[in-house]
Amino acid sequence: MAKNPNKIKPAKSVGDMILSIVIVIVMAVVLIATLYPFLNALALSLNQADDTMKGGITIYPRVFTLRNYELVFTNEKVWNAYLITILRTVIGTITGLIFTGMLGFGLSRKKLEGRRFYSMFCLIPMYFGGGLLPTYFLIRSLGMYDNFLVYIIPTLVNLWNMILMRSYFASIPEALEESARIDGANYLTIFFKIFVPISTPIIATICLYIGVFHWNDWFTSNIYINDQSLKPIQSVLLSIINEAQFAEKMAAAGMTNVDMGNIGKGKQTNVRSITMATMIVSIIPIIAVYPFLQRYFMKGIMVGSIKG
Amino acid sequence: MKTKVLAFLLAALLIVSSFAACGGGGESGGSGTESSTTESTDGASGEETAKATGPDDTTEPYEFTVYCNYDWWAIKEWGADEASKFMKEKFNVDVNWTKPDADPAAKLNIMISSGDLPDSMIMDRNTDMFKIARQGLLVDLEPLKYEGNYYDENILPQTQELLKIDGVLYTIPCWARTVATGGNYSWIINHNIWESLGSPELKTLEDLHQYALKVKEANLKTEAGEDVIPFMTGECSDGSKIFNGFYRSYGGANPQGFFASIDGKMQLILRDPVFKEALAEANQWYREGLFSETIITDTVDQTNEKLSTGRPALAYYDFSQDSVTRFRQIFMESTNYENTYDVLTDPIFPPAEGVTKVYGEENATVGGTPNVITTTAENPQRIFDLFTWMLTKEGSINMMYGPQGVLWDELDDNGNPILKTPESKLTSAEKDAAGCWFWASPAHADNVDLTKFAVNDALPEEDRDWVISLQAHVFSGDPENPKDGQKFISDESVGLVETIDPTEDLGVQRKLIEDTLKAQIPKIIIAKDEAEFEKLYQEALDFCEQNGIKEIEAKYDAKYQENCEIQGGSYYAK
Repeated sequence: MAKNPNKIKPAKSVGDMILSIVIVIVMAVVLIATLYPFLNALALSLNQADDTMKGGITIYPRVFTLRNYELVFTNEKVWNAYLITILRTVIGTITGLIFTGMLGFGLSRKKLEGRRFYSMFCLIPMYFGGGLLPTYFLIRSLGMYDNFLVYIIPTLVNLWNMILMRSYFASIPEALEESARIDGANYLTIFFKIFVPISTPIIATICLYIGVFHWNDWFTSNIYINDQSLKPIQSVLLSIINEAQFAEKMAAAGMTNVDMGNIGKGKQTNVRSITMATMIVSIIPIIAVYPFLQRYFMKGIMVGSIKG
Repeated sequence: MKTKVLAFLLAALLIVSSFAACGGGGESGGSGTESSTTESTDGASGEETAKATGPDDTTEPYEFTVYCNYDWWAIKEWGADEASKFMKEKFNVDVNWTKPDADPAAKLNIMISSGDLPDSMIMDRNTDMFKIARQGLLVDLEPLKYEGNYYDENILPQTQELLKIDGVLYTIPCWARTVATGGNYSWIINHNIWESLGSPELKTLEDLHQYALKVKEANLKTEAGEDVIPFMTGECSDGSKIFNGFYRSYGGANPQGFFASIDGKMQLILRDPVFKEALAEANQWYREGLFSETIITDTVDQTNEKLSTGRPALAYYDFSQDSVTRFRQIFMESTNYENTYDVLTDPIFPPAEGVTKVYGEENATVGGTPNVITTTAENPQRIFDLFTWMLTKEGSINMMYGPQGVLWDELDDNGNPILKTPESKLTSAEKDAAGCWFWASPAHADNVDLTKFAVNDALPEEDRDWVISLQAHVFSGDPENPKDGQKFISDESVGLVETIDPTEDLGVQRKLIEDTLKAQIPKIIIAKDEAEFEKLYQEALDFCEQNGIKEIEAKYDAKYQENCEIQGGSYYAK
């Protein structure tokens, strides 16, 4: 739309200008404070380990090397862990979205008999949980211990996400549903063929929530998985970081010449370098995906919160 | 109407299924506990189980799990390297090693509560282990000991007595010992700085003090232009590295946390006037500007940075960390090998004025991080055979250098391997492939240390390892030529912490005292004047008095006196 040359812009007062300057300065400080640790971590991960020991690395590597990443990626466990994480993220996100969405859709229908009861039934677990031990017994008795399904089934429905989706679906005009019903569509058809295609913001938002949860989760495998081939990337990377301290702790116990566990190339790296390289490896995929979902994320949070 | 009926049925189904889930979980948890109790009765009772007559027949393969109760523990695939492959074939066992990714306490509690234990565990000897043993979840090792077994060959009878829980032996200790070998903490000097200041004598603590003052006066800089620090320690947020070093030079006993043997009794260390004097000297050094400004707040990484760049002129530090962090090597490489760090050796720990006896590091015979076998194990004998073989000299050689034919082909006349390549010249890939220094749980300190000392001494001087050489010839106790500051053996301080359950009231008070002292002692060390020093010291003492320290001391001392009686007296009374 062309600018209107006759439009009068209100003049900025001195106070407005000062405020703008202060806001810019504050945001610049926040930007630097937020970005600096990440750049420092990146620099350390790309810096030779012996040189890192001497300190003084800021936002660029002093002695560039890819050795730290080589050590992380030549660890066979890392590749298997990435596969497990990608599988659980993809499968968990799709299935979580479907089940949570269906529950949200169902509860958003005003004509649902017992709607209030089901809503209460869903709200109670949000405030009261069974606790770790009962959950552990339940998972074990369902045969999900040391099983990939422990990543998927217990997280099929998230009640907080369901409430967001319910609110969004409730804001969609009822006329759409009514006209579809007149044409003979059942609720499954209405959900998948009418509501889902027009609910992109909330679906993208919930996708991001569920995806990030699955990508970052380490607790589930810590408690329910002993089989190393089923460990996700966060667990393996946590192990790598912890194991890098193994040699230091064993040396303090009296052992010498202990190389760092499965990394085993101790003479060319150290705890800090490994830690930074693993941290970068674990967050890069999420950082790469987020920009594509950001516009939906901002819309999706607020959509459905205001009726009309 | 039909919709209403369906809705009602669905609601009823939801309610019934949620109660059904609760019922099923409780029963499975209960049955798990019951089966463990049944098995433990059989396992723990010596009279009911027949004693082994020999090692287990290894014709049939056996697979078992080992759980390492530490999130920092490194695990590898069993059989992927030569050392574990040798053990796998020798004992015909497949071992699945597991560990928690994080939060070991939560995972262990779940395993104990659910009765879902692995076949074997490696864990601290603490109240958790006592709890598991008293629930009957561990196997009594006595019935597994046959005539001439490796356990009795390598672990002293008095050590076994100390290891027992309620009179029953459950643990295979790691790093048990009969001789005082090794060494960690020492005074370290920057060689070039020391030479540039006239190579002053460093025979007493006051000599070190004067040396640090000279360093400060000289206002020296490193090659990179950074300020030289007169004195620093390793990571020291609780002040312990500082007070350990100074207290040792003042003739104090080895602290057990914030307790020490004072006049033959185990007491709060703050009660010892010698400790107060030592702390006052440390405070004086601080007020004179001899400490690094960030000595209390430095992290491990920051400490390593300072050491690697040659900033400290004098340090009280664990020299064995060089094997891992290579701080000395990195420093030497950065100066083209024209500068280095030296460890003070004569005396090892310079005494304060008037002190005639300085004690080295105290080592107990019991070691730490023991292995236990749980009642889940179907064949505890095979597990016992493997773990106790790892304590032997043959097992130690396999752990350090791999089996015969890999890094060594022959043994010398003393039964020590003759390395084909000096250890310092081996690449990390070669060591990893051989499995060097990895499968050390359990291991026996004597067999490991004495072998590694001998192998190191057999090498040409330029190939010898700096840390091992120091441990072998300076810090290890020499019964024939005992020297102040060398390590010594004593079991008098074993098992003090386990006398108090951390969940009971006294345990909570103990934690409160420890947390308070960890915060208070650094403040005392960096007090701005003597008046503040006295005030803070008295505050710390008063706090302990008001929070059950007398009861804690009574429990600790009771155990201490019991230990002294078993071993025939306190080392500090000699």
